[in-house]
Amino acid sequence: MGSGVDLPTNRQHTIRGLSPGTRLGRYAVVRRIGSGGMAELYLARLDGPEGFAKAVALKLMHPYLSDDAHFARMFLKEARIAAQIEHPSIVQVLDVGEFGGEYFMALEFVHGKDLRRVLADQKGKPMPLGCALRVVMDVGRALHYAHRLRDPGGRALGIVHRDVSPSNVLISYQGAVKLADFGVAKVAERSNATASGMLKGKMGYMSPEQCLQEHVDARSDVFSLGVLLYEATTARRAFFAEQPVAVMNKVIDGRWRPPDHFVPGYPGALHEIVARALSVDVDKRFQSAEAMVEALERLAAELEIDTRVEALGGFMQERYGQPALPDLEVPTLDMARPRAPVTEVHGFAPMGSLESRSRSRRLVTGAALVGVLVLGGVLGWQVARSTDGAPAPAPAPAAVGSAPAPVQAAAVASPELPANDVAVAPSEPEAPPPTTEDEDPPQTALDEPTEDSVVEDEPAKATKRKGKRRKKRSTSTKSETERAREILFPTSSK
Amino acid sequence: MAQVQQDDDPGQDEEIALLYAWRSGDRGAGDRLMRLYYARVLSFFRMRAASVADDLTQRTFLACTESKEHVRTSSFRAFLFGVARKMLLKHIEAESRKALHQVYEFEVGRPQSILSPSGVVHQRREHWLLLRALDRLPDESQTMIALFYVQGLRAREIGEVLGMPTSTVTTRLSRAREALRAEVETLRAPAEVRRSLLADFEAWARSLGTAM
Repeated sequence: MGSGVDLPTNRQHTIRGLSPGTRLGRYAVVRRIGSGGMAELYLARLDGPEGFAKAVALKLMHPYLSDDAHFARMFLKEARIAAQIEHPSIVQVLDVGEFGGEYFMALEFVHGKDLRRVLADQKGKPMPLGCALRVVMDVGRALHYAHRLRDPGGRALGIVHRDVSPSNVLISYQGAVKLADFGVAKVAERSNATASGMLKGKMGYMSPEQCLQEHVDARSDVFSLGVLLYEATTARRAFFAEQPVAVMNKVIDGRWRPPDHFVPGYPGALHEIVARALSVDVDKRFQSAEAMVEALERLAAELEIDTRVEALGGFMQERYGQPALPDLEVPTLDMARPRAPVTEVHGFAPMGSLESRSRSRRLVTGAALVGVLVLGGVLGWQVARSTDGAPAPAPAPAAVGSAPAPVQAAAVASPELPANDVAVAPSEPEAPPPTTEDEDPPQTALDEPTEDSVVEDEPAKATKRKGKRRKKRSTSTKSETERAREILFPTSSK
Repeated sequence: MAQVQQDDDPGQDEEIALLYAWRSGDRGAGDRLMRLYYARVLSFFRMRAASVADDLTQRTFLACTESKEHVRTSSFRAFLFGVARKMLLKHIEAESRKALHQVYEFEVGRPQSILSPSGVVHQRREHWLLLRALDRLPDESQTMIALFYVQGLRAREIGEVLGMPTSTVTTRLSRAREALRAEVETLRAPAEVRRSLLADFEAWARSLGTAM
């Protein structure tokens, strides 16, 4: 784990590319909906008796990360933390399962968009103030709930989310707000594994103490919530610079522009709330997310700002219409394709033994998904276990390559990951054939877009570059410059 | 330059030989030079413009290809980093021009995830602190430090890159080093990280190259 994430580029781009219809136990993949820093997200259908079907989001760790026991542990830790969390404003983890020796999570599916998408679609124009406040207040309440969680023995768990950012805030078309991704959340009692020096979170949203890798507590999330408040109310990043270190310096120095620089008439009282949340000195911040939410509520009452859920729902529908629930109809394939040879097939994986499992994970390659965990008894029902011994013929490593091409292509083509839909169980699958990828590009509950999009779509030049590459291949009489390109481009992806 | 004499570094001689071979039409020699330097030029850009480092690296090599006839240098890497430096300046200039007009532009960009491969790399806390300190220095000092410590160029070569006499480089370099040290001493940082960084400042600076 020492070297963390500095992976060879060729592996960063590996996409699992599960094809529609792939079965993972009780779940059937409908389509890929996004990809974050650590995981891919699929829309899937949970099948039950008598045609019961419910949309869920399946989160699978990237193949290149799942080979790293450290990330497997992080993933499972998220599940463990999430299992203890039940709050209307937090995306619920429904289930944890295993597929081909790797773990996945089934999450509540939110029918809506993430805040990053919403803000981006605003094109620099702030959302209505009441809507922005509603979002921040709901996230604040969710955080406060998580911060105060206690174990059954009454001991504080000391959960800190550490990755509160617009892409982790989902807004349904009805105006429900849900905080997602406890993937890098920290539980106080566990050993401080980050001491190894790996920063976790997103630059520009992490608190100063988080950037400095000092001790963080709930107030670190308060800072991030302040960044969220700033961004939601101004449509600008509070801390932004081209270089990550420069962003870090701004955060640590507390350098941000007064919101009224961008939004004339920004309420002074709101500026004060922002300033307090963004205090570099933790003792000067709101001491809890709840205190910040209360300050916002008072402000909304004084200024008579409409922060009702209905207002937010109205805004979402005005912006995006009322998109239909996703179509869950897909032909299902019987067998998922494992990506490594099967040497042994495991069944049920009790939580307690996860660590040892992750060590032997590579051996443990089940054909189809096997066990399904009932999280901390949250779900009271008995879960069907599919395929225990069924020793699916293992197409061995070749299977990786044989992952259905169309999906792979589609996945690459749509790194734009927008929306997210969750929550409510979509009732019956509607008639029409499988939706096309671009129709309702749902967004992930996760970190952020695929690495390739992060790296490559930024400068427009990147596209140009690709164009050149294509050209190069078709020419046979090469000029010196073309020759140089030929040498360069392959090297660049090394 | 008064005394255009080859360095004692045998690698340097070989590079110059490759450069000449390349100029006289040996493409294989060009290939070798690029392969030799690709990662180093990339790390040079990553320190200053991470999000476009790949692109700038490729432009640098393309520009080298196009201007190799005009090389007047005793060192290939001085020539190469000279081109790289020009690319960087152009980029910085374009960015600052953009910033002037950016007030009304939408700035909600993609968050820079530390988990994203391009961002991560420097994981050691000492490296972060060093980079933060560097970020506060003027461009020229940053470039000097990067070339001298990270890329291992000699003062004379840096002179060629920046177009100034070696003696000026030496003076300014030592000033830049002092300024950097002063920044490290005043920046907010965990005491043990600062101590460890200051204990072997130059080794940490050198190791930035591989950390990027």
